Amino acid sequence: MQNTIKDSIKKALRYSNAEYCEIRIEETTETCVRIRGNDIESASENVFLGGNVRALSRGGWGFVSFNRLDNLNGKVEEASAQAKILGARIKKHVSLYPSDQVEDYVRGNFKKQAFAVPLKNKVRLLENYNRLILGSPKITSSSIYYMDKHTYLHFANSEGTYIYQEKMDLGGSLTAIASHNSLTVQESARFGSNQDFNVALGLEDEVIKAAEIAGQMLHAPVVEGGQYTVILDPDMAGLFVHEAFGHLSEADNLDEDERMKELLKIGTRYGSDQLDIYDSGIEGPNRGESKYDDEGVLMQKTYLIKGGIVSGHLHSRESAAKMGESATGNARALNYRFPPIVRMRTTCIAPGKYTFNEMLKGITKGVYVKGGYGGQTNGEMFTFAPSRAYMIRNSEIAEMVRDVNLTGNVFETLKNIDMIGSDFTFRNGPGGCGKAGQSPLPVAQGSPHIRIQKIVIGGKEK
Amino acid sequence: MKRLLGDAASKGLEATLITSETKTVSVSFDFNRLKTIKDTESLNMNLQVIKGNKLGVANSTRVGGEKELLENAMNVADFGPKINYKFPSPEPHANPEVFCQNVEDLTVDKMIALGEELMKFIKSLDPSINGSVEVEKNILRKDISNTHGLNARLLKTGFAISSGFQFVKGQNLLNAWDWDVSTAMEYNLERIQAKLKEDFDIGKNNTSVEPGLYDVIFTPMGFSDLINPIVTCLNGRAVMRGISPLKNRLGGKIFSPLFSLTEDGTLDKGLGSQFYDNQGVACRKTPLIEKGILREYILDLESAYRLGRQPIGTGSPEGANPNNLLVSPGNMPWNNFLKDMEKGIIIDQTMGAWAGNPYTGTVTGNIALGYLVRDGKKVGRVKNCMFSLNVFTHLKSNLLAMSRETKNLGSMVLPYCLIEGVSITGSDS
Repeated sequence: MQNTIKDSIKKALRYSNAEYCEIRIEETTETCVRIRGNDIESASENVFLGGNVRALSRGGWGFVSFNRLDNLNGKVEEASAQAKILGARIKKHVSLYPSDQVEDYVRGNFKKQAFAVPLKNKVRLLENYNRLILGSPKITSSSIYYMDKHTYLHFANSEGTYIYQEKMDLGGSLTAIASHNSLTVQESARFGSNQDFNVALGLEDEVIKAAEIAGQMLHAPVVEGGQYTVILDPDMAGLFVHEAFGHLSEADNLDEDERMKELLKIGTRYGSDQLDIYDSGIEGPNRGESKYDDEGVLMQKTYLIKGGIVSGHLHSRESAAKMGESATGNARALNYRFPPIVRMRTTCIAPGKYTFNEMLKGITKGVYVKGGYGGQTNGEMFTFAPSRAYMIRNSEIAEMVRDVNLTGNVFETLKNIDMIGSDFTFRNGPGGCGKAGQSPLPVAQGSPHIRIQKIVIGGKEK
Repeated sequence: MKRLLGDAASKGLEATLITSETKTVSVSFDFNRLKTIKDTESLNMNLQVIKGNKLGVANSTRVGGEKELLENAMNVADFGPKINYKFPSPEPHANPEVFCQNVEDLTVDKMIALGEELMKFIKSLDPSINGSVEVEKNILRKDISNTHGLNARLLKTGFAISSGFQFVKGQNLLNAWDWDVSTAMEYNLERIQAKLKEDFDIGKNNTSVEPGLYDVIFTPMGFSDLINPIVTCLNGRAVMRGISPLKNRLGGKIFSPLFSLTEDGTLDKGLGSQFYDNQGVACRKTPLIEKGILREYILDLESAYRLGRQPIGTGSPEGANPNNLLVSPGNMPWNNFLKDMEKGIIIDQTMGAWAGNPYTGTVTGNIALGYLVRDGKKVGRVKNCMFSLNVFTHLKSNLLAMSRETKNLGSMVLPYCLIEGVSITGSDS
């Protein structure tokens, strides 16, 4: 099967008359289970098979995706013809960063294959967690989500590269829900991996803890809106760096905009000497990492900020060539229905030197936020929400507060990071990143605790 | 299709099969220039089987993968949800206008021409602006059939044109966009251009905002952030499990009499309109909130059974999902809200407002694009600040008006709305 696909896509590429052409063929099997309350709400086993062709001609990209694989030659001709139509109008030379001609077979070197675990075992595991949640005091319901994917991916381009990669992805959340009168609150334990089903095992203590916290949250007041000194746990700090600087470093938003290039110019200072930020495809194992990106470029580790100064950007082959920098292996596609665009993999703040107690010192009124729930950015501003938060009063963790959502200006906030912890944790949850309609793309983050001055928290009026 | 259902029936299973084939063509402009043509064909087969009293679901995009699909669905059914329903027998359905020949006939050249017109306009705003445009059309063929004799085919078109810009000055980034979407070739380039011009002219001037309670005009886009938690709480599955604050409150006065919300799967030119939902129930028009009073939940077959309600054509094997949601408009043009406003804020685009806990009704988000209003005029862009309100209290006690105009956002048709007492927190707090 593998050689048949390899032969047919290499043969089909001969039908391209574009400057550059590539084909991806992808087959994914997926299992999803959702439990809510006492019921299994849904369970499904899915098969996704399809492919795409992308062609470049004089600055124009043609892109065709399909499920029927029986006319690859025609699809190559179609994408090439589209690129030519555009190229005739654009008449712009767009080169791609040179990439070595590679032939490689990347077999899945998984620690424990999720897809080898029978569905009944997965369901039994999740039902056990569910029983623990529902048996906890004050818990009225639950929400359990599990998914795993196993993908075979073929990539070939008109430069002679052929790469076969086998990938795995899995993620889940185990959520305890507590309700009283009209108030409903929740807290989750989460897991994710690109190579080990074992991360879904042994989470009993975390599940019980989540249920306990949800119960406590019922009595937590809504946070008072205002500007605070905030300490972020590694989970939240990872989410922060993804939203606040990761997206801004994606070069497909810079490469043809002179003002954005100036804003993110290498050598510009945006943080203190202690701040190092990097994105890596080789850090893990983490969700979103693999040997090659979806343009056949080796993933690598790229420093975005070193010593507080902009030191690099995240690139596809196109953006790297336009900006005169190196491709970084960040061209990723959600699946065969989409072309690759510049995306993060594992985005991290490197550890610093402070202990948690040193961070607390001197804060008369602040907020400690834990467990990244979600975030968003529009380039200059970002928001992110924790799953739980506590007031800090007179250098000590005080009462829990709820409905916390933080915001900030990217450039000001990076400068306001005044302490970086000496601890470090990776975050692999079940969700993913969204950009240009491609969501959720698996990504991970890593960070120590960090402390930031002057963060705005939305909330009720004083 | 018939053979697969026959195979399922011969094994003693009830089954529903949905086959969707979509062809989408899009033309996109980035950085002020034509960049990509995309042509995507997608096929998906969704099979639901009832084995005993358990549901099994499988999906496949593999052409000719019917046998594997049935095996997977049967395998899942052994561990799937226990259900209390049967797949429905055929019932008459409405015939909403959802197919437009002009969309099917739309050529790539015409799509490029539309994009070029918008692109030319955006470039005229400022030489250093970074504009983008996307023009997209799609054609859907959806077949649904089941072992009770249901057999229907829906042909539906979709058309969308969206346009926006990013304007960078120092560390100030202004992003704005607008779009029109329909199942027909309905768009208004002049309106999109006027919106972008106003966002550019006023949005490039920042103004500070003091923290406090403000009257706020939510544009339809901003208003959608307030509707989302209500939809979550109206979901029959959330009600059935007792986690929705709206449980046991049918007939109760939940919101202001100014607020009415309707689910309508039969809306002409509605992007979500269809003949049958994904469980085979005919779509219909159902008031959910009528002048502030809770009338119905958003239901699938299982939640309808457990709540003792009739299904409303919003079901899927995973739960209930609305087709088209409509908030009833008011009588006044929204410009009157603006004219009469002494001091207030307009919220058009938000960030992170989705990230809260929907069951508390609290919505807190960054104002990604919003304006300070003084004496009836937009005076500048407010940024680096957050808004916060609770939909259950603010849409009950603080809702002042809905506008006459509505905007089709795709799955929701919403007016502008005016709410008092919205908490604004800024970096000047």
